[in-house]
Amino acid sequence: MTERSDAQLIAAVVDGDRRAFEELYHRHAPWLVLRFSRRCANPAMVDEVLQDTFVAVWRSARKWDGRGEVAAWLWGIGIRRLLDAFRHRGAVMEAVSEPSGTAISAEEHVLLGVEYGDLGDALRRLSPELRAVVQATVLDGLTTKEAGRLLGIPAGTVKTRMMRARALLREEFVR
Amino acid sequence: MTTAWHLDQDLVRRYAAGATDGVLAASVEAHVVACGECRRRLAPAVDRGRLGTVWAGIADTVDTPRAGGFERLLHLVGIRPDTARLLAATPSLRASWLGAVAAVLAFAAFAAGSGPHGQLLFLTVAPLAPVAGVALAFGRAGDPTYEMAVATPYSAFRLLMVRTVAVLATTIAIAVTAAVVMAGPGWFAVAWLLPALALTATTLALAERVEPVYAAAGLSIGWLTVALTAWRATAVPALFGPAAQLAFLAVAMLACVEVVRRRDRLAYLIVGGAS
Repeated sequence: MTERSDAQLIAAVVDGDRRAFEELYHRHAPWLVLRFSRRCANPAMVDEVLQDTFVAVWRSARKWDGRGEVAAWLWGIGIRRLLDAFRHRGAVMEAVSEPSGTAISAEEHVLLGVEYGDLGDALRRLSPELRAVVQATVLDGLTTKEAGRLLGIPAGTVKTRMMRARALLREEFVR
Repeated sequence: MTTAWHLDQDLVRRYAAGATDGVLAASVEAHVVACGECRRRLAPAVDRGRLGTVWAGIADTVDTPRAGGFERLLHLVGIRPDTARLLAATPSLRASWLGAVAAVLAFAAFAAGSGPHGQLLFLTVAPLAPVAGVALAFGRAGDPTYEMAVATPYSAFRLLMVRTVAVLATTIAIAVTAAVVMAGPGWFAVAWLLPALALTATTLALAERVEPVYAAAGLSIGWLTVALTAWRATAVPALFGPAAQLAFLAVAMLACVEVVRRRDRLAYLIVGGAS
């Protein structure tokens, strides 16, 4: 039997297929764990968020509109669960944690070239505060309000930082 | 997405260890969302046992029936989960039952607006709602958790009290609302409370001899007969006068004393449904 696609698995989950649900879990739980772990240092909390995410998937699989990547939809659910978990604990997520003093390897340049072109360098030149806002809104797909809650700053500040980041990036490319 | 590029072993290891800088990690994440192959490559970086434990938790949660709206409301007001489940399983607290009670009382209240006869009708009908509610909260016929209630190591008397008080509180609240909404003399809104209590307590006290449903039915018919007779005999209903109220109070207290005195046997019979 050929492997079912993610979209087919979701359709089966809507019909209450537990086997499909388990397959979906084993396909997507690992990268979700890793991505959560980069945003939350507490493994127990990551496990909890992972569980909440898939329980939500089981209960609201019919809400998937069938467009785009299933993985992106899963992340959209997951990041919001993570946000809820942070709110319940009154904690604020650390802005993107970065190992200090890592030299940028040639290979990383290549990767960034593939994924973003010159954008990688431009992003790297942004201040950590601006980059955190870009990460939360553009890459993690949060709304201004959610990003503000995540980073512990008012939504208005998210907006102004986003505007500054956009201006700086535009400058980089015009130059 | 059909990029030929994929994460290599080294990058997988560094990303999993959190040793990539923010921009590179963002780049990896953007790629992984769109690339099934790289999701597979990341999988070995996460402990299988950990994923298994979380899966067990998910399966557990998905299999547990969700608490209904009523049960969640009870949680919110601080009622213990086990008691909340008991109340939620009480048949005469269900929406359909409460809706029916509200409808009957609304009609009676409407009739009361039409004059003294209507008011008498309301006073006669209102006490029947709590009695029927309490009777239907127990026994083989109405209780979906009957088998469980018999087998559960839970104080039967506590179950009896919890359900009775809950049913009385809700039906009486509905009836009082109906009474207050309509026009009538001041004593009107509460005159039926003591008859209701007397009927309910007697139903429970009789459980040693008669099943609650039959006791409630019998007492209701008796009540209606008395009420109609009194209704015909006097223009001002003596049935709701001071002397009668005192009599109802006495009956209610006697029945309550009886219930408490024989609580263990009665609770066993009522909750377990005398066979």
